[in-house]
Amino acid sequence: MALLEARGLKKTYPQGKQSVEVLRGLDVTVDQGEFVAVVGPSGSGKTTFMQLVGGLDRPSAGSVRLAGEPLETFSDARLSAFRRRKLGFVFQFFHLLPTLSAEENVCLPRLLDGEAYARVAPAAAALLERVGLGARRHHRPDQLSGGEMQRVAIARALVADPVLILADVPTGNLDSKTGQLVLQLFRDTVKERGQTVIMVTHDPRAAALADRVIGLRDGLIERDEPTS
Amino acid sequence: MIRTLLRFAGLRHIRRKPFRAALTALGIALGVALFVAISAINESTLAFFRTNVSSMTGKASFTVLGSPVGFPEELVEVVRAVPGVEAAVPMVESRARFGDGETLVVFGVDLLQEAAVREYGGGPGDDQHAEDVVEDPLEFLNQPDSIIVTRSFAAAHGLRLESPFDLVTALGRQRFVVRGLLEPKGTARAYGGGVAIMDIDGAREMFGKVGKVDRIDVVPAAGVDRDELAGRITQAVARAGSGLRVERREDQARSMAKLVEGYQGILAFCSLLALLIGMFLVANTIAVAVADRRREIAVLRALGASRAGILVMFVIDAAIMGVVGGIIGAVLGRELAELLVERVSASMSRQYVTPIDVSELHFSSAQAAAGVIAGVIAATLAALWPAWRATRVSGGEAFGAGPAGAPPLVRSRRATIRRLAGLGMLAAFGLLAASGASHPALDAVTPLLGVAGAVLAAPWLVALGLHGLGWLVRARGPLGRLAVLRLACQNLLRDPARTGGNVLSLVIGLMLVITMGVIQFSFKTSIGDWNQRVLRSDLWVSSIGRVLAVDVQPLSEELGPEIDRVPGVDLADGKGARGFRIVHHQHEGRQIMLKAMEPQHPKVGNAWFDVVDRPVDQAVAELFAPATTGVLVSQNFTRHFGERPGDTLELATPSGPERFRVLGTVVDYGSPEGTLYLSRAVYRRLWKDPLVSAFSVEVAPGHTPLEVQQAIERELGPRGLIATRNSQLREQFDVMMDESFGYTRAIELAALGIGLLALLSTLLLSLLARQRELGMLRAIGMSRGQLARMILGEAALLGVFGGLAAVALGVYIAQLWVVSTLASSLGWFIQVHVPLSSVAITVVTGLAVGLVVGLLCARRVATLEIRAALEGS
Repeated sequence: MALLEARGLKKTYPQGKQSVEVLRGLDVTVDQGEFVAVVGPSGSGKTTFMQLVGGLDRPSAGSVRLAGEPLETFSDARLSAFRRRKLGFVFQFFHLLPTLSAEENVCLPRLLDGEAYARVAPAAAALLERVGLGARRHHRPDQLSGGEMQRVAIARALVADPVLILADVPTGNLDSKTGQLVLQLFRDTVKERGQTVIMVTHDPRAAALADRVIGLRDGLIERDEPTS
Repeated sequence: MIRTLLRFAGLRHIRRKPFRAALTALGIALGVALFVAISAINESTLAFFRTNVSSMTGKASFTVLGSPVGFPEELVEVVRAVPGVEAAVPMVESRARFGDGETLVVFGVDLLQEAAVREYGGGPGDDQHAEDVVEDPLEFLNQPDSIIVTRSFAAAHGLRLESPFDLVTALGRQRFVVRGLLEPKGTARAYGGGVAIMDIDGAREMFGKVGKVDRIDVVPAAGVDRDELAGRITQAVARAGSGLRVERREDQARSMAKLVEGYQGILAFCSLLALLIGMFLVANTIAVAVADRRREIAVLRALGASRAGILVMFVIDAAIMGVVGGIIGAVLGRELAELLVERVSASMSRQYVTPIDVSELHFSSAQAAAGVIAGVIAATLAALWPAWRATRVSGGEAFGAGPAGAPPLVRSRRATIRRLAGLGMLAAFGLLAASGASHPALDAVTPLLGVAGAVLAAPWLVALGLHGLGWLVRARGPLGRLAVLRLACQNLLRDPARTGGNVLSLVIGLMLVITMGVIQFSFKTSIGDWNQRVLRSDLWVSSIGRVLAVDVQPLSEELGPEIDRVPGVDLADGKGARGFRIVHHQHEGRQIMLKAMEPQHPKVGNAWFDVVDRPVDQAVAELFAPATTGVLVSQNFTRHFGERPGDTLELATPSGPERFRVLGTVVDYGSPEGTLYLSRAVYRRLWKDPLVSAFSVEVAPGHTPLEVQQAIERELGPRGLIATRNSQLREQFDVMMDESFGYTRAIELAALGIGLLALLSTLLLSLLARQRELGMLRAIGMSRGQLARMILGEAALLGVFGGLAAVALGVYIAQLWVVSTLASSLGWFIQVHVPLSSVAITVVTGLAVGLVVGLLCARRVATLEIRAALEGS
């Protein structure tokens, strides 16, 4: 069953007096439970694709239907609420709030949705336990290693039980060994929860862990194939 | 290298970030504007005094002066007889009410002798003498109602030659006729042109100074050594009578200027404080700019830029903004001075009970240049520290891919040292102020310690408040559901030192508000309570109808029995109205106040005499005992001169030196130098002054004060007397106190304006530095509204906690200032009263500033593009 349907997706950015067409009409469908890797050289449109799919930006043309919802018709407030409840994000630079503990960082999306901390905390603690940080849940980010921070970020992405997780070069700031371990953990966790993932990566070994690889070049799909 | 850095990095940055540059320049501009405005006002006030003195003294080199009640006219001949004196010309000077409460200074001169000293402009382009101003001097002299006024005064009041107009004199209201008009030259320029000339004999008659003069202006003969002549005149007048002094022309301007020295000092302090706030704005902006351009600095360092080059680049950036701000500030300062000069001079007039009419603003290019230089120096000094921080950036940072993960929370040891240093300075300030020690060096250091301590401690106080709130809104705390507020609070606590720095300018501005509020309220309450204790009479009858002050036109004591005949006036022992005389008196080089009293009406008893160290009835009985020549001394008199009850005090009276026994100590706020109470019978005899400043009147049973007031004004109003009810007197006092401090509002507003700009600039720039984080929050689902509320919350929290820190520090500083510094300089015991309204105003103003800044910032972040923010572009 299709979770994501992107049709004729285009994105143009103004650059001085000219404009640059970053995406030139993508058609992508992703099914529920798929783990998809998006690869391609710099400037191929990977991150822009993720941003459009994640409702962080609006397409210049085309449509994104996610879990049956047409994102381009949403107001900003509705889009924010949609992101809180249906999407999870994992960033290359982790983007944890330095003032919050690991557990508080994980709780954040649901706290922003108005839930009480006491209600969210058990779920956050369980997720941290799942990613191997049960003992470090009260530590602040500056007391964690890079791999630990990214594991907290993964737990944060999962806490609202989203239908789709978008990961933007999640191992880009980790050494290869840690990156591989974190990614394996990420894959196992989402698989056992039946969640869908779209991950941008430059690392062929990371892409190999996905079910399917979409290769982009110059704003168009160059290849779309399952991994072996 | 420095030229290259400036050309390719520094100056271009100013062009690329015009908003940031404009904000910084504006902060400096406001500081410079206050600095320039206050220095122009102070200079104009001094010029006013110089003009006054030169207008009054004319060609005279010396002036013989006595007490305000005058001295015997025979002394004119004594001075004339001193070898080397070319001319000695007497003058009588009085203040007369006219119209709707305005005051005119009336000079009584000997028209035929005036030419030797003063010039009067009779017509355009002429330098005429007094006798030339009127058509027929003899006729002028023969008509005692003759008066000459200035053309400006005549124009302002619709008067022409032969116009009649009324003045209230010692004899009550009298009609005069304008028989000459003066051009604004020479003597006519004194007191801003609010002067009139009469014949000296007529003036003596009208103003109760028969047989007296107020001053003798002395012109030395050609070739005479002035120092020697001054010595001879001093000896001659000392032989003839005591209480007289010989002042040189230049000393007179200095003595007048000295009168307002303290007042001008406070103004100058406020303007420096405003400049200091502007410096914080510059320091904050440059600090954030350094953080913002860290990558750029690293690249420059990697490319070979030296540390000195980086330092100079930032310092010159700031200096350029200082020049721009300085020029704008100088222009604004001139306008501000125009706006404030009349209010300040009116406030000084009220405070010093001396007509100070600084209508002409003296603004020179030197003052403007000083303002610009001050702006540049302030901006340059302020930039040094953040610029030095910029030099610490390593070129290696250029190779990094950007900040990975979370920046560490700042727990700086330096912040702890600064905090402790601040607390230490505040404690030292407290000890120094409380010790009452006085020394020029200490007097300069003490306020600096207070301000520096407050500057260092304020960030800590703000952080303390935020920690308290952080505890309340912590995840499992009582307000744990307020996630956005918790985020706002924790964002501010991420780097407490920087947060404190961001809000520092606002704290200083707010401190000014609360400090002035506490000082004003403490004075108002202490003096108001005292007034209420001592001023118990039902009615007060005077020539001016305003507060009981020294420089009102005194009245003849003969008016007392006339008041007694008004129905409703309560008589006791056959007497109703009780006259009292308030005059200045020179004592050991200081101007003290004398209050000559009559035994009071039984209804009010001895309320006037607020004796603190003896039974009041006993002390007052001795004061009025016929066999005693005694005085009650005010507490500040004892502090300044040392005499205590039981001591003997020698006063120089117009009848010669006289010894007075000190009978007790009283509370009195009449004079900052000290006040003496004595019996009016003794005063009348020794000072040969039968006039009274005002009468106190009690209302007979069955009548109301309003009825009797109306009856007095019906009977004696045509004679120029005004009756004031006690309640009106208190209202007048409140209005006067409010007006006296009115000018401070402009200073507070300017300081707050700079504080607002500083907060806005630093918050906006810190948002730029946090844009990736804000992008992440939006990405994980924070709505625009939530983001805006978080930013608004941060700014509001800064405003509120800035206000609370300002209240704590401001009340501490104001309290010590009132209790110690002012007490030791004025000798007054002022109870500290903290007005809750000022506390509320300070916190609410902080909140309001925070909300304004928050709304502006929130509008900006609401339009944040998530994609761009996440990319950090």
